Amino acid sequence: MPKPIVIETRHLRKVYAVNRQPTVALDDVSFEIPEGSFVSLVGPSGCGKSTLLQILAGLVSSTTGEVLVDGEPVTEPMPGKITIVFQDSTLLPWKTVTENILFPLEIQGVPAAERAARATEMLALVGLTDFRDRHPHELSGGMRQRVSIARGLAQHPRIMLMDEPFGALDEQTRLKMGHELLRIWEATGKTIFLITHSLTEALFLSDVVLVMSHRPGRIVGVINAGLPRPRTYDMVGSPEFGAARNEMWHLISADETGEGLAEL
Amino acid sequence: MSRPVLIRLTLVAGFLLAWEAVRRLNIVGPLLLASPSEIVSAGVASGPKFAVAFELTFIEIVVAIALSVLLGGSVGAFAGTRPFLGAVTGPVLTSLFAVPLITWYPLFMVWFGIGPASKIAYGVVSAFFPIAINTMNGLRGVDRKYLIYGRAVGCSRMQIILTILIPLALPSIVAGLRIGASLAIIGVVVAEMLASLGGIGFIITSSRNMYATGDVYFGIVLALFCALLANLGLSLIEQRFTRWRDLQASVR
Repeated sequence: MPKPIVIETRHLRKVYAVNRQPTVALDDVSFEIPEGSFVSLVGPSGCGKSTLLQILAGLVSSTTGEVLVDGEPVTEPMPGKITIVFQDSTLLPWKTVTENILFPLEIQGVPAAERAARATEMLALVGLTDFRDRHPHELSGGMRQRVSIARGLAQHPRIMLMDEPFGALDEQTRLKMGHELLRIWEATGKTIFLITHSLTEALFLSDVVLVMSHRPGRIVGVINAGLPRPRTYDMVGSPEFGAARNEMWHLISADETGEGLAEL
Repeated sequence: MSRPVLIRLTLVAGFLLAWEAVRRLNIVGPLLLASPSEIVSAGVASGPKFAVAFELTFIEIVVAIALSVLLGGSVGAFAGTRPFLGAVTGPVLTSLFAVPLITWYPLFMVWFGIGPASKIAYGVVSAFFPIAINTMNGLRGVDRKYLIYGRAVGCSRMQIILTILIPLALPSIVAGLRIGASLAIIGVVVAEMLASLGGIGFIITSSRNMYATGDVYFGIVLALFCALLANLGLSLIEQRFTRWRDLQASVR
């Protein structure tokens, strides 16, 4: 039986006015993400990835087309249903790790006992129980992103959107965080949609990778490398991985403007 | 006691001794300078008079600061969270801050009378601009990603302002409060000196007219004491609410 679709976009188009000139940021973006899957979107910087993510989250409206979550059109933010993990952690600096996880739950009216239980559970999941009373500035960049993930998952979302979540981390931490994210994903069975400009990261983590072209952002390819799980670092060197990576590379470089390649 | 504290205390004691000596040896006449011992005895002799004056001035200062926080804070909050309002009012606030307000004081007396009301009003106007400007700039300076985060987790506009924006802007708001509080103190005391019926500023001016130099100096000491008290209060607020900022800075 096919898994139900959590999020679906239909012919999304976004036109911005830049100096009174209409600029097409996204054009005819359609895809669907089944429940429990890990889908990534790669594309050069400035291709409209972040705009797409904000449209999915109901923070920005599309010019035409629609986003459906569980079949319901998204017209405004859906707190608790769609959560976002940002590139720079948006942890509130004066709150402790625990308080940061509790804050959205308080806003969303989750009962106090339930809030505390979820925070404890999520802290254990991301392995930061010992750091629950620390403040964000006392944590490393990778730890802060783990708190962001815990904060997102504690809201029990239907889908977690991640906008270059490891983009600000160094290479080694980035690799470790990828592994960590897979472990968390497998433990929770959440649906994850991740945006990145790293082809390797996208392939390593995802079931399916959507490839986006440079402005206007269009989905120019859907890559399903079919790599087995659990994923290991060795797979990055495998022929299947290389082939899939090449295919993505060609999709992006076939972009008529050629600008995408330069910025990748 | 640590070495810096010891050296500091020695310096202060030496300064006071030298000051006392200058008067005792009559190097400077009694009309120009009162020695520390003369200041203390003036304070003791006219104790009740000073107590009444201090109470009046202190209340004027506290009311002036409270009102300017309320007014400046809310104007700054509006200007800082509504881009259009901020664009309209921002330049006006900044340029009005540069106007020497004392030129308005004669009008304040016409409007509010010679009593405490005109002093409070002048103190409020002095403190209003730095508080409003710093609140506005602090709120405007908050990274936009926090607004997006607030909306995504379901905060209302008010919740975003109260629970996310204002705490993030607090270091800047408190800095404005510091400038505002010291300007309010100066404003109140100066206004009392210009024309009034009581308060520390009044005593300083009237004692000078009567050549009671010791009383003039004791008045100055009391004005200093007001500033010290306000500073202490603000430091407590600062520590309580903006500690994370310093910690954050020390890590980077």
